[in-house]
Amino acid sequence: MDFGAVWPEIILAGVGMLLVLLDPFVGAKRQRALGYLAVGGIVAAGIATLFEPRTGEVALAGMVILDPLSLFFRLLFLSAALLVTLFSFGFLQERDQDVGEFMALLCFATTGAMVMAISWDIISLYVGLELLSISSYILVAFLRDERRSHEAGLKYLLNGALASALLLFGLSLIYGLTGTTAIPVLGRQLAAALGHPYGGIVWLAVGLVLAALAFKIAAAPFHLWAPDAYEGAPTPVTGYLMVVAESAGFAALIRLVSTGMGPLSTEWGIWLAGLAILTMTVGNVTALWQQNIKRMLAYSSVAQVGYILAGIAVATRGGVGSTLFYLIAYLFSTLGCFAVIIALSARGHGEQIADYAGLGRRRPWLAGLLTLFFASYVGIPATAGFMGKLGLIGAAIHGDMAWLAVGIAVNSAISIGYYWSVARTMWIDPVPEAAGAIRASAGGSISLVLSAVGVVLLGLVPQMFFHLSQWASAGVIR
Amino acid sequence: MNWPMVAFVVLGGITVYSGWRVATAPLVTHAALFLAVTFAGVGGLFFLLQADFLAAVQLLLYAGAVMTVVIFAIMLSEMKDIEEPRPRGWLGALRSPSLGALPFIGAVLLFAVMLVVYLRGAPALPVTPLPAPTNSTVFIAGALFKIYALPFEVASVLLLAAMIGAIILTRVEGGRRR
Repeated sequence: MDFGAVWPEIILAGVGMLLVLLDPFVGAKRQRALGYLAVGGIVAAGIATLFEPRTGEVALAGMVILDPLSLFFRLLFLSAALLVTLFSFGFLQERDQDVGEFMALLCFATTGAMVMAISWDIISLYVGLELLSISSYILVAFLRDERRSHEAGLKYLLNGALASALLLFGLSLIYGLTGTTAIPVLGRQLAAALGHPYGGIVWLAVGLVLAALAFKIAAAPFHLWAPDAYEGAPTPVTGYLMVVAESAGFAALIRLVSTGMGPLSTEWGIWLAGLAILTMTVGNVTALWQQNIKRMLAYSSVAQVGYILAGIAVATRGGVGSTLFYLIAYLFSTLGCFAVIIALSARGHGEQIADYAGLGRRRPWLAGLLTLFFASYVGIPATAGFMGKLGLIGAAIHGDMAWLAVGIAVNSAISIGYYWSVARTMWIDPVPEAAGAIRASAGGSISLVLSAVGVVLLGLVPQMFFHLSQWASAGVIR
Repeated sequence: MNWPMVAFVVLGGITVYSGWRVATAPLVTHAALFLAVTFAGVGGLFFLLQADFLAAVQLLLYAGAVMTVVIFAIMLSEMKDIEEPRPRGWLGALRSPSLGALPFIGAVLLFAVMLVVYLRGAPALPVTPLPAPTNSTVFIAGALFKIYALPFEVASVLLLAAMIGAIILTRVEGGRRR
């Protein structure tokens, strides 16, 4: 058996194990070294990814495929993991937490996400999903001194387990109906099974799979766990889940639904389009009332998931391409926001939106960058979000779902409300009396700058990334 | 009515009933014991399907090892028995796990679906089933270590992560390093 096709995953999981192994021998003073090891592992896995073939060859007895989409998602997850690792250092040391264990779990979770994205069989996809999920449950509950971190971990575990059960039930029905676990053959077999006396079970199976993946990406009405889990989790983990766990959910949707269930796209296209509209509306409207910034960003991420779903619902190559582009934009905007929040929380700065009063005068750079990331979320021209939404709206119109395009536009307008209220608090409200000093850690500053550069680059010179995402989506719709 | 049919109905009935009791038993220990019955029932169903290896694994691992761990967990955590609040109103009565009608209806429906599929299933499967391997242990070993080698390896990383997580979350010292 030749495992050459999964070198990046082997490297990353190996570094995770090495971290656990070294952790007991590294003193509390030298914990940073473990963080550097994790950074090195992520970079090495990224380099290994670049050397993997990308011509669509199927490897490991049909378990994985090495196509442009695999390359895209591997690099996406590794970039996100790198940024999260960089701003986790300071956060963990501030709270006297164990860096080695945290980084090891981060490596395992990222390995799981990558296995999901390269899967060409529902078994490897499911195992990857579970590796990602179980590592994430532990990461959410990682701050053992904090009650709400525990509560968040438990809620995430229970909801995630339910979603896994639904997914397994759906996948087992699919196997029963088609007799295969290979993603490329599923669609034809499912379409053939429709004409059968049990044809109705096909829709039960598709519905279960869609509901389970909707749980994982936190799409309404399956999003109820997300605000609690995202608010209670350690802040770097919240950023990680919003970007990596949700993007991995989208990778699974693209593999399993866009490609695997392609022949049934007229049906699930409508279901997903309805889900997209509901998700963006519920996310945006609920976000208007939030007082806690992490909770507000949680609802805002629900809304973003709604936009991204639109690209998959239209079931065209262009739609998947704009989904991929938006995922890059979403990565930089989200992790940028979290780099700012973590920099602020370092000296006991609160998480309430009211605590951000007068930030524009105290730390104009941080406030300015947070405003930039919000602008990208809304879709102001010259930011990443603008180009991303343009692509999604274009794909919706080309896919004969103009009402979906209208939904995205209307929802972007609604979202200005809550982003503006934070911006107003930062720039216009007076500085509170008891404001302490704020100092960003070196790693946090690096990831902040990288995110900002990403947002601006995607907004000003998007061509390269457009080509990348179009190239990566080439083989998806068959 | 042939014998496998009778065996299926009896085993399926026991499995569904004890599964329902797992959710509704007022004592945690009782729920655990009913869970063991459910696992054993599923093992019996595997036997009926002539999947003897799966049946053995089901009995050894689930009814044996997993149940032992569950009972240990109940003992170690000194879990108090769940006190179910009295249901309020007709909706509460309908939803209440042990008294209500909804869980019961759900269990009966699941059982009915299983029965219908079994009664009508044989001639009209959408795909031709794989030829039954003569030696299912050899067959499963081949599938596990040749075709599904990657998921098998990933599952080992998954178990490692879960084990590390269990240690992290239950360590007594309370989050501080040494």
